[in-house]
Amino acid sequence: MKPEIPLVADANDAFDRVNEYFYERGWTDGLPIVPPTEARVQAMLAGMPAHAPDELISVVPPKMGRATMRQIAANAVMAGCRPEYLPVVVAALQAISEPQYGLAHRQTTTHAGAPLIIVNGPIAERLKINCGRGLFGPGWRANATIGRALRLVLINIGGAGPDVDASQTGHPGKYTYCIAEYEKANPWEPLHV
Amino acid sequence: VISTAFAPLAQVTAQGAGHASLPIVVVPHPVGDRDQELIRQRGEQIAAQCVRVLTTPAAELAREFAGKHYPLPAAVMPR
Repeated sequence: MKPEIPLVADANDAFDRVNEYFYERGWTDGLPIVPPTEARVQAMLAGMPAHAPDELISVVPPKMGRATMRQIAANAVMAGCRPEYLPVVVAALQAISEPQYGLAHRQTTTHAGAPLIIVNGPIAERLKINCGRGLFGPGWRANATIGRALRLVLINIGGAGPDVDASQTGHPGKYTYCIAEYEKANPWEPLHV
Repeated sequence: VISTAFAPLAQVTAQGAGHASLPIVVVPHPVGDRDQELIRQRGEQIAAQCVRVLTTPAAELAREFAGKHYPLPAAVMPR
């Protein structure tokens, strides 16, 4: 009898199989993901060592999925985040979980919008979150993966995959939507005030 | 009762509210039509289904509706 999964697979083959498996179940944004192995998730959790893996950060609509640190970390791994990005992902999820944001509405509306993460403070410089030329464009790992991690949380924990997300046109910002504030050049009060 | 374009969303929302096997009766999409006669016809088409889900034992309905697949209409998602 032929085993469903070969006993020996080279690393590339396993990567491809994991990606097909995740994509077929609707657990991705359509792009390849980094397989969330136990070791990678543990390494990601080390980015916020003061928080227990089972600590509940949010309950994400419409599925009302429980976003524990561990679940968030798994999605951050999939998105390609470095462990030091995890606090920003968690803070972004906390922000859009505030009642006045109306996340249930955002997750289910026919409108095309997506949450935009604007990072203020020293962490933006430390993580090299682009706030200058091309800040909405490609080429910056923190911008690309922090926003993507939040989207994967909204899809996988919140249940807002493509059949459920009722947005009529979608939006490129639904892949990733994260920038930093250029505080030194901002003529207005900085966002933390 | 919901139109076919929103049935998967209704199902996940019901799941989030703790009613994973909520009976969902679907009508063709869209329902945002100004033709009142057309809307009346759609209501009449599902009336019997509504009566059935309101009068059938919950356990029986749960077997029917738990994990039921609601395909999106081709006009909404062609692929």
